[in-house]
Amino acid sequence: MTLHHYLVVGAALFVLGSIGFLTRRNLIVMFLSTEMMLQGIALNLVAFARDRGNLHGQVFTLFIITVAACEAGLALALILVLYRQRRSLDVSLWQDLREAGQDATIDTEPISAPPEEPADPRLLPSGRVPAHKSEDSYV
Amino acid sequence: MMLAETNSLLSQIGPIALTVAIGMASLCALLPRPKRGPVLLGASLGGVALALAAILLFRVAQVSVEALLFYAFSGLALVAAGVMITHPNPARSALSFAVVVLSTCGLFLLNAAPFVMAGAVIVYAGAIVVTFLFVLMLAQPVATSDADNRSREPVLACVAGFFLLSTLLLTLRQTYDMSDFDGWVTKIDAARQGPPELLWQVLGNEEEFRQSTELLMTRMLGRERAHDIVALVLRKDDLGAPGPDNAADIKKWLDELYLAAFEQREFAQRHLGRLSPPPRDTLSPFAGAPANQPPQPLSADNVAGLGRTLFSDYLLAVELGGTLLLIATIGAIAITQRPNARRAA
Repeated sequence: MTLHHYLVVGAALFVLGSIGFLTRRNLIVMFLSTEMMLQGIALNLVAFARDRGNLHGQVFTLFIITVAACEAGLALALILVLYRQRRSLDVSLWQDLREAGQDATIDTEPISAPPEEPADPRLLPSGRVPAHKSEDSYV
Repeated sequence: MMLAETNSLLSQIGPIALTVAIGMASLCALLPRPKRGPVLLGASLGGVALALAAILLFRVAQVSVEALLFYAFSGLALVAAGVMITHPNPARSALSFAVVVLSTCGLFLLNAAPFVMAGAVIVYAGAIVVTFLFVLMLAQPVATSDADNRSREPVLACVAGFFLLSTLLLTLRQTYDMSDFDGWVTKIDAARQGPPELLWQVLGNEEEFRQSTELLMTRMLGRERAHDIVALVLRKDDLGAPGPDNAADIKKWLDELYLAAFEQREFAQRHLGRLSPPPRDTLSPFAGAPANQPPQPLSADNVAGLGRTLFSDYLLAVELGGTLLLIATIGAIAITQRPNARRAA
């Protein structure tokens, strides 16, 4: 396996993460997408460390992990604050913050409701009514 | 020469663009929308894209344990990454991200980085568990929501991703992929070992061989050496058709060609995609060979060296990293406090 192979996987992870960040509207999934972009970069650095035969790439990766941990803490705190304001994780509810002169995006297509799950079956009472004494307990 | 360069570029772009386009089409079909797209079609397109990538981009000369593990981990990572960004349920997304992290950690281990692997597992496992709790805590009570069942501009994002990934892969291939050149060198070596009468059976047609050499050399680093190799191939015309009377000459020509190709390979391997190293390396030797010396293979048993270099060369950066973590913790606590709770305290 050469350096090229690992760099290709790193690039693919980075691009998948960026597509996820651009398209998804759930704040938590957007946060996970940025973490995936960081994973692609970390893979690049580790592969270079092995190719060049020294540990500097691994040191860089450790710092990336440190910064990713800080980022995770702050991002989840921010998500919590934003959720308290709007009671939803949809990032489009915050489009008042968009650049001046941009049109607001309005969802026109209605969301199709999921198919109704069939109710649990019930047994009809049938047969002979069992004879039981009433109020026999002392509880 | 210009035409040859264009042809060479087109022949490289073709397979990369095809693979990436199929992958992006699959993502485009799978991304959540109010009306679910064809899931099965999208998933099978994704599988086709991965298989094409394995055949076209990741050609492996021989099957080894490392190659098998690489295929397994990278395939798992890419599939889980696709599921993560396309699944409408955020809890499934978080679980798929866990799979991405674990597979990437396997790739770290293949690259002789055990400490980074352990660190990533511990940090990301913690992060994912917390994220998962957040998902469960903030999950919408209704089955469908604007946040999970709509995407912002999936087609445009996939087109942008297509251009970004194709450009990246093309650049990586032009800069770091030596497999074409290796195949060419192996062919010359095989011709050198065999009898001279079978020369063109091994090398292929004379005209084709010349053209493929010129194509390869247009991509090579060190134009002067590359031109020398092309001139060497052209000198074959003086020798005439291979026969019993010029067998020794052919052999000598092949040896010369092989030597030149081998030197070119070494040169390219040393210089491809590298910045020129500083004349004097100011870092300690704990981290391995300095950048201005030829690289040594990295031992997998490198945790001690990593620790020593962190606490000698990178001491200031380690302290700053610790400070950053502390500040981030304080910041996270500060911004999540409710205003009225602060007033009460």
